[in-house]
Amino acid sequence: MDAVTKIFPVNSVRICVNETAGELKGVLCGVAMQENIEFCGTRELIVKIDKYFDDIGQPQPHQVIRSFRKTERDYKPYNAKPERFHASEEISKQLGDKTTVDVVIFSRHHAEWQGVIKDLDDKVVCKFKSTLEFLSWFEKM
Amino acid sequence: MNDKALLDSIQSEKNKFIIQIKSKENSTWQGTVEWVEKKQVIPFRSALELMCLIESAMSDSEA
Repeated sequence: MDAVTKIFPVNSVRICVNETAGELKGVLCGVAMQENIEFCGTRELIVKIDKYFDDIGQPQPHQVIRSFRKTERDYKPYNAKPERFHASEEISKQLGDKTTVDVVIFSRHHAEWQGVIKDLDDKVVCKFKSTLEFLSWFEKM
Repeated sequence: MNDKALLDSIQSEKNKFIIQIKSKENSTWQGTVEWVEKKQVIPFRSALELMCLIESAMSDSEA
């Protein structure tokens, strides 16, 4: 399937899934993500995407996430224009072996994510209000 | 992982958590998570926070 070139906002992440048997494995990429991030399992997928949004400074979390660690999480102040390391065309070309979806996070209320999942044709396939809804869509996929 | 290693990991207190879900508001979970090894209990406000808490414990015990 040919990838459609579309505009990727900084608050979006492309999830390239390479393995679905057993644990979900793949790679994350985005226009404001300096290097691709590998993930193994749904927990790692969620935690790594959340850290990416902390790093770029938007969307800002509305709550400070608790931790068992004594050191505080490194929250960045709001950044209206995070640095773009890649053009949208570069991200469009990255595809997973099994499936590829784009997740756009609009806000992070209630220590959760609110956003949409889009397919390669830029069609919204799921709207979610929490990571539970996000993950249940992945389960059904 | 062989059978002995699997049995050891099940019997070990390391990376064992007890999760109690107390409510399900805002399309997510609220409750408490206990890290058995350290006997620490922390409340969480969402599934995302729960996953981050478990991740912080796992990376702390690996360090």
